Amino acid sequence: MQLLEAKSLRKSYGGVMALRDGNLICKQGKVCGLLGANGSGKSTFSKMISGVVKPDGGEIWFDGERLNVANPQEAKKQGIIMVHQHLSLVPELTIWENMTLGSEPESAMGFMKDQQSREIAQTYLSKFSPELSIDEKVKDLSLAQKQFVEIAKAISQKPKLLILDEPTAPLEQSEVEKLFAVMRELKANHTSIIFISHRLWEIKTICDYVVVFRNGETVGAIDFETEAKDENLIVSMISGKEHRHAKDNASASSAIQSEKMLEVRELMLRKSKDRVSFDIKKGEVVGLGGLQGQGQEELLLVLSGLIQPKQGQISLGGKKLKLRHPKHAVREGMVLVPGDRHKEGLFLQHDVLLNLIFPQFATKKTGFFLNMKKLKAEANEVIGQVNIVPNDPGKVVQYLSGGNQQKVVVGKWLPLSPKVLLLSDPAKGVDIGAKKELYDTVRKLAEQGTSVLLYASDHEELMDICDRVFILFEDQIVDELMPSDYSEQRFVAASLRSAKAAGN
Amino acid sequence: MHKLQHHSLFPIVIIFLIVIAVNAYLQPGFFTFDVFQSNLASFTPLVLASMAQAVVILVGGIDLSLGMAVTLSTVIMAATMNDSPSSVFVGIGLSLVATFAVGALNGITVGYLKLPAIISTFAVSAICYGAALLIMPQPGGYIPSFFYEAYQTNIASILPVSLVIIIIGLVIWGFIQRRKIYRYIYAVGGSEQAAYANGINTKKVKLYAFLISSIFIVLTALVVVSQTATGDANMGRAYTLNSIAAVVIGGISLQGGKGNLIGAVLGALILGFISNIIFFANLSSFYQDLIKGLIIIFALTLSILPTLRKKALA
Amino acid sequence: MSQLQTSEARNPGLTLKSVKNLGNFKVLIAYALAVLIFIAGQIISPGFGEFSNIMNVLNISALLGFIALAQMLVVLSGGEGIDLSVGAMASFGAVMSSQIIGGLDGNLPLAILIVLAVGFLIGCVSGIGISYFKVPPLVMTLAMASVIQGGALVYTNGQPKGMASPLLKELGTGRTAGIPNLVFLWIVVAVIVAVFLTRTKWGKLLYGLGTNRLTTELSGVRTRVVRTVVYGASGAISAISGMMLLSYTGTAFLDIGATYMLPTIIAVVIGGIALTGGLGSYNGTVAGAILLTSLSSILITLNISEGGRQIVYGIILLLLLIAYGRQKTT
Repeated sequence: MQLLEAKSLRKSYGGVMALRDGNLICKQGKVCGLLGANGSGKSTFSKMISGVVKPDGGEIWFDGERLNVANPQEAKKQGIIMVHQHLSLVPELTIWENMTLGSEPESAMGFMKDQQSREIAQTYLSKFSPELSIDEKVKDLSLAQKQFVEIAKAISQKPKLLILDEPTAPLEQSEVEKLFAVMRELKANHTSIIFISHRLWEIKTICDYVVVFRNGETVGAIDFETEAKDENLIVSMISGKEHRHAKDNASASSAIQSEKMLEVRELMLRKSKDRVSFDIKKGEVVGLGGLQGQGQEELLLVLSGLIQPKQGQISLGGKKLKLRHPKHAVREGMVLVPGDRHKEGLFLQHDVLLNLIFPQFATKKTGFFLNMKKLKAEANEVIGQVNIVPNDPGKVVQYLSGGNQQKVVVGKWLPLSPKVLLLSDPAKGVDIGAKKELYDTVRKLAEQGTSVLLYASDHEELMDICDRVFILFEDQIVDELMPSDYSEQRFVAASLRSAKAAGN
Repeated sequence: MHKLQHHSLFPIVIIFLIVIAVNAYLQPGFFTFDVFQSNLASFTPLVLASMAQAVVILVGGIDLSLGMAVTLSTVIMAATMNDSPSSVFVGIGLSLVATFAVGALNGITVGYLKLPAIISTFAVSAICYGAALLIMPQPGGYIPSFFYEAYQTNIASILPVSLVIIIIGLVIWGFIQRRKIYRYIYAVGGSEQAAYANGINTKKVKLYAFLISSIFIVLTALVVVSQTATGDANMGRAYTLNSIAAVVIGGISLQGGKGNLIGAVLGALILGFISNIIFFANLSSFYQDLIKGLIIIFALTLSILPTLRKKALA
Repeated sequence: MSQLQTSEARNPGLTLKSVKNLGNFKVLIAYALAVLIFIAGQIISPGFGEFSNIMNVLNISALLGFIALAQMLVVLSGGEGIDLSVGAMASFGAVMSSQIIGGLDGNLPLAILIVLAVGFLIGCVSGIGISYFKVPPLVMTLAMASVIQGGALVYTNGQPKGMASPLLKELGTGRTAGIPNLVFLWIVVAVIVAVFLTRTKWGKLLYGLGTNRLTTELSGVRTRVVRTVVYGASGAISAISGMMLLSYTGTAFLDIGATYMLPTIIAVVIGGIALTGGLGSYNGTVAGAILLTSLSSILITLNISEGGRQIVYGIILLLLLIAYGRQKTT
């Protein structure tokens, strides 16, 4: 029996298609695995079902009726609850206060019935952690415990359909087992579950069937009750057709010089006990791949001097660096194109000129009084080099397209002739033409001897421009791919199988 | 949870005991009932004002109009009251209306119009000051003696009226603690986004917080007129900063959502004892502002340090 | 941000010029309103719009303009920047000047030096609390205002002594070619500030810091140091503005600067400086100071009391906030 059917859901953000054709059927009392690479549209899809995002087109049928919800509250009333990652917990409140927040039991006189709230909280929390006191404040909990509270809270509202978005990410093996036990109990009570995870063994263990998304479309489903749980089949469905990259790496490699530029030794990112060590040669373009949030951005931020590592050594051109502030990195010629250009890379309300000349103020290149004529000429030169359109230094940055904004972020470093360029997902929200120009600029810089460390969430980009790619998993380099290894399938397998390995 | 709360109030209680000890050493007859009563009577206004400020800070705002709202309320009472009991009721009634109007204005501008509280309440402060000046350009007015003398008396010759008023304030808060709005104030102050995600009307919660705060502002004003027996448009200014200081010393986070109203009460008492100490230590009164300001800055810095350390670790 | 972009997509005509003009537009409106006030004033009370009265108003505007400069720098530096101690600092500067000068021209250089240094140091204390200990600017400067007030009391023993010297008095009350000397000084200051903001590294850093602290930090700038210096500068400018107040009144009193506190914020907001920081120019603040002073001048002419004027100020500030001070919901 089917509980929910979504038919050809569509959504685009500012001209970019996030979801082209999303289809899914939820069967009553079954666990549906939702699979797909980063940006395949699966999270947009689940947000539509839970009322967070409004579809541009398509239909959702729920419990025999057309579903039309404007916000998560309405979806909740219908019986659809999505568990987000700690968005709905108030850290300063206790577990039990959080679990009934917004739906506190009240007496006829309008007084809260705290005893009843505590009982509800205790009942559902003890499914996961009987040893955890409901009087703990949420801020004192571990990530896994917060996740449990979040899920317990959702279950306490007795949903018909529960959507779990990567619930196992912060969980350890034994905790995952506990979650699965609860999910089986829910199944037995005819609750349907949509389960999103990147760990294949989890999918194979708990799901009754899987639906795969790729490039904003549903590409297929496998019913584990009738078909085999073929891991290779799943990986190839996620990654698309097997295709090798016909990139002429000969020309790319020619830029690489034998001289080592950046040496990183035993670097500790975040709290993980694992260390990162690697070298980058002069003129080499090295990529950082893997699932999102595996420490790629943290690595770049450490190298840029914004966050200080607990341990480890960084040397540039043989010189040991002490990076206590971005200033130190900038002065040594190691510069960052950050992941969020609006928040970290631009002065949106100011003109291109100010944005382009700004980094020079941190170095000793400029005196107290500025030679605006000279700076303007330099800015114009940069505008030409990276091809910012329109080529007007007086244009306010917030009115440029995403691609041109990103060119400004890259371009502002050019006058400093950087030795190492760090890029964090620079092509996010950038159109194809600008993306190509952006990466052309990066390659040109590499040919001139700049070393590049690039994180991109899109494997294609890494394959297109990198001489080597490190695959990161949980703050650790778990694999290194050379151009001869490049294929979408290889990337997905490297990212997922390592996930599987660590899960076991 | 009760253990934790005691834990978080622990440093404040220690400071509280220290200032009491120093005060007792300097002030003759500290432990006599009369001195206790007169100390309490002089601390009560700030205690109530701090409770008012605490509610707004808990919801994640700040009220810079508090001092002037108290002033406006006292000026209205002093301007309307005469020896007839009915005029006393009219005075209290009018100041209730004015204070709640100010609270509603703050709540609407901060909650519904999403103006930054620090500046919009500052603007409201100017409006209150102006209104107070219009009502009473020169200090004056009249407070009937039966009204202000009542404040100095003891019920059953054992319970000072000032203490009774603090208890009334706490009972009102105790009532609110059992309503949903209490938890929502903490939720909105702690994480507006999470509160919203749980379907809580965050705008309304902010408005209600300012209105609840108005209750305590009226109580403050009642006590202040009983003490001074006149109206003066420049009288209440200091309550704004002092109430913020008391709240911060009392362990309530300026980010909102964290702390306890009892902390604000203790913070206000600590500030009161410090004023006493400065007075009885025979320091020139000129030093009062300076030392108070320095202590407030010291307390602010101390109260914010732990959160900084936590951020550094994360 | 995506909203911005979509609205851009709908209005491709909205470009750089319109953003800059939006600031200029506010400034033009401020000047136009000031002119209107003088015309209306002349009709209601003949003589109000005469040259000498206009010059009087400009003279007082200059005093507000100097203190508002201190406020503007802090607001421009962003991070909810606001300085509620400018009034107290100006008072302190005035009484310090009065006591050091003691009516003698020869003491002027020393007074200027000490007033600037003390103002800067006290401002830096606020700055350190704000940028290193993360105390909200409003609370920090409010507390500092109390400290400064207390400091002034201790320093003067409750009764400021001394007075302005003849030269200082000439600066504050004298006129050259019918134009007050303070107005000339104001023009010079405005030009210096304009050059500083548009032609120097520190001016650009200030705009950068105010617009986006993280981008500035990632560009290699020690933003906490810059922010501390900004509050120091605000302190120094407020304190020396106190000396200008003294030049106008001749003798100082303890809360001589207090009434300027709220008007500095309004002048800055009228002048098109975003309270979120990073945008605007001193030109706008000058316009704001003139508009506000002419407004209060006409309110006085209309016999509206201090109370009525405070209400008008409060309402104007609220309306301005509603018009362009809304918090961005993120």
